[in-house]
Amino acid sequence: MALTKIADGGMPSGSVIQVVQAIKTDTTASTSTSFEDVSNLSVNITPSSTSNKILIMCSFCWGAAVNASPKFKLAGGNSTTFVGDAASNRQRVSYMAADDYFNGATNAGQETAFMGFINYLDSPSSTSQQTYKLQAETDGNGAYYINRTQADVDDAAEGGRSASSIIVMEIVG
Amino acid sequence: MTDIISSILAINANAKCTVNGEDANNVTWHDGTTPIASADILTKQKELQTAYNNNKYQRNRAVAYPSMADQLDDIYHNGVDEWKKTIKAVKDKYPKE
Repeated sequence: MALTKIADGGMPSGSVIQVVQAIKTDTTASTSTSFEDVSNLSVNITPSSTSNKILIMCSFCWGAAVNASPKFKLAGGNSTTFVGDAASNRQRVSYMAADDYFNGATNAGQETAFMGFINYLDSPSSTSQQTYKLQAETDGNGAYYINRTQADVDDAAEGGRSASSIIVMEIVG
Repeated sequence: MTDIISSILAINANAKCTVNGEDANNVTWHDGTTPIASADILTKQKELQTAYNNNKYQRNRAVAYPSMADQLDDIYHNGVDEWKKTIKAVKDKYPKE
């Protein structure tokens, strides 16, 4: 019996019809105090229908200087709206990592890295190519780091380098 | 290993920049920061690394010394001379280079 290909438009709502991934295995260290793209954490995807949604899953390993306050958010499509509510002078971001978190420790902070996760279901309402990416900034009190710690200890027992990724999926709306 | 961004900040403490791949030739400068030549960055990195290496004995001693509480307890129970022996043992183990 001949098989009949089901067009993407014929898939039931909720079906995943396209998956794209970008991975970052190098490091970034930055003192930028305004949001900038994190290199190699950017993906392009072109929705096949304006009613389809894009599920964004971004996981990234970050470290920071002792007094730094790194912040992260998504960009692309309508994902820039995925931020916290306005609250006085507080900055609206997807993920506020820490502020002075490591202050008071001796070298614990410099040798610590964390995983950050930002997941969001976007509705770009477009069939144009969308570019989703991670952006980051710090507060002028020290650098943030991706895929490494501040100390970046060059030792197999105490040091390491990590990987980060961003995956986007087109979901039938 | 002293990293690139630490070397940049040692030259210009207010530098706003992003270093990708730990590469002195892959630096993006932000907010009007005057770019620093990669050769100058690498020279500073070497200088900082030498200073770091020369201070290894200090780092070894710092983690080898008993805690402040234990040192005070040592002095209280055993006297200053015994405390000095404890400290000297660490200094002898990690001599100044």
